Amino acid sequence: MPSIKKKPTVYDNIHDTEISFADYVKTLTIEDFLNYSKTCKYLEDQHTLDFDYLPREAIERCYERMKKNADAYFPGILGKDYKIEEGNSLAFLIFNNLNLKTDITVFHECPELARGIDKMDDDFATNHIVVKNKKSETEKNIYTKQKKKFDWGTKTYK
Amino acid sequence: MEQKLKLISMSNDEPLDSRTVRLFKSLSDMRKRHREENFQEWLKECNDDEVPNINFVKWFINDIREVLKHYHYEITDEKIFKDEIASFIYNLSEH
Repeated sequence: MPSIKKKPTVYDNIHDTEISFADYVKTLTIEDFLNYSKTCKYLEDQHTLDFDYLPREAIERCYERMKKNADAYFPGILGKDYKIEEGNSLAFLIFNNLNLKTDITVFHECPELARGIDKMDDDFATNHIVVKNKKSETEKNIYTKQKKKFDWGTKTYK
Repeated sequence: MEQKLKLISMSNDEPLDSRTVRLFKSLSDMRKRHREENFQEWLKECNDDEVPNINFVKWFINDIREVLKHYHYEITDEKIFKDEIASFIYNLSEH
């Protein structure tokens, strides 16, 4: 008896590629999370909190140690900081020079934090339009300034 | 007799002429160059044990780098990082 091969339908294809949101989140890369405003903000906040927890204090302690060394062996160096209180400023300066340290496993453990990332295209489009508007506004201002020209005949600005 | 004070605007909307712009630019460049020279001289200055200030700056940067390494942080740009730390130390120092 000849076998009848069933023609694959559109529904079969959908069924093959359907995955849960949690599994979808696991397929995403760090760039995907950084390109989506909600997850990007979460990662940045986490990075700030992590830095504030231990590293900042370690840097402040390091500064205090170096300040004592400077007072003992290099008179004048760091001499304007009488109360040894610039450690926090140093920590802030260092924080601005660090790469974003991220841990995306938090989204694997709690996919709800990334809810909406599957509709990222829409968000990206919205952001893109906002940026475009800002740019055109700036260009508009520049154009207005350049419009003023000096007339050498009458020695006035037009 | 009382005199009324008049507030006179020191600037108008007209832009500066090119000679004045060049003058301010060269003054700014000169100040920048002067600051840079002072900074370089300060780095070469030595303490009582003949150890130059630049060594202290290097130790300082290495110590900070060790702390960051311990917490698995990466520096975005090494050169900018070093420049900023050196400027930070210089600005807080008596010279």
